[in-house]
Amino acid sequence: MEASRALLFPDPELLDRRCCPVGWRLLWQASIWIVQGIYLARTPTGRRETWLILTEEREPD
Amino acid sequence: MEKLRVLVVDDTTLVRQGLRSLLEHRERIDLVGEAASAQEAYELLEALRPDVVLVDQEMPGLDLVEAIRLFKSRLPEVEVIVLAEWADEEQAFRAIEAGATGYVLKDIHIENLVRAIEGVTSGRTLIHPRITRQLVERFRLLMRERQDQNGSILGGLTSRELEILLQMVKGATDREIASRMFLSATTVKSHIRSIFRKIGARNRTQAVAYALRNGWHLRSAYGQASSADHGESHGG
Repeated sequence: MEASRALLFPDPELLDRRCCPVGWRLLWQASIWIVQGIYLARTPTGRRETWLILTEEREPD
Repeated sequence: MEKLRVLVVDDTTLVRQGLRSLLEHRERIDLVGEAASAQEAYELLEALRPDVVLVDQEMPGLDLVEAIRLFKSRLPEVEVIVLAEWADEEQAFRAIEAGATGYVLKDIHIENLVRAIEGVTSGRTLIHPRITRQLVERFRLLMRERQDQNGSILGGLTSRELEILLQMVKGATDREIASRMFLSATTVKSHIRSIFRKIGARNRTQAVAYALRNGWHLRSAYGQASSADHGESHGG
């Protein structure tokens, strides 16, 4: 089973740390989360927000 | 609703055609053109005036970061999203620093790519807020661990650069490194330039000397970086 999610990251912390975790995998609550992308979305007010696109892979039952 | 004008830049015809077939029937997307190189895309920018450029991470002729800067200089309001076959944190950061809006892997789900193209947030998060906080904390922890490693052990090298440096220590040529790591020779050269810059080496000999001086640390760090690169989790 696989699901894709988008995670809003508190802005601009990630980039301030010169960190782009694309390709990272982390194990969390019996799921493997893979960072498939980072993008700076624009809010309706024009502000930039940092988002991570994650895919959650669960172990097969 | 006004459609977003999208230009696709990739030297592989199949990728361009695949993206076209995936995106052309989208309600909010108008695929206005395709280019096989950054230079060709640059020349099309003024005529096509895209809102978004989807660009391959590796193109013939022009370095990715250089291409992004060129695109932004000709059309400052254009959003550039890099489509990456493999993840390269350093390249992702440099691309965003140069003005890219996003950096996503090519195996991304099409809906997420569309979401990135549309730049939709509307203040909505697709993960429960409690989980979001916990995941963010997990990322913070990993980031700190990475930074500690970078500062004290790796000299700021990414895991891929470290792997290339170790190949250089073994005496591998650029071509051999490219073959072993499934990279193009151009990409290997670009990584080597980055390694030289980070460790202050002027040439290959100095870089290898640096690696040998730091041999033990590099080997242990390489073990961590390599396992991370090959699918083991960073945390649990």
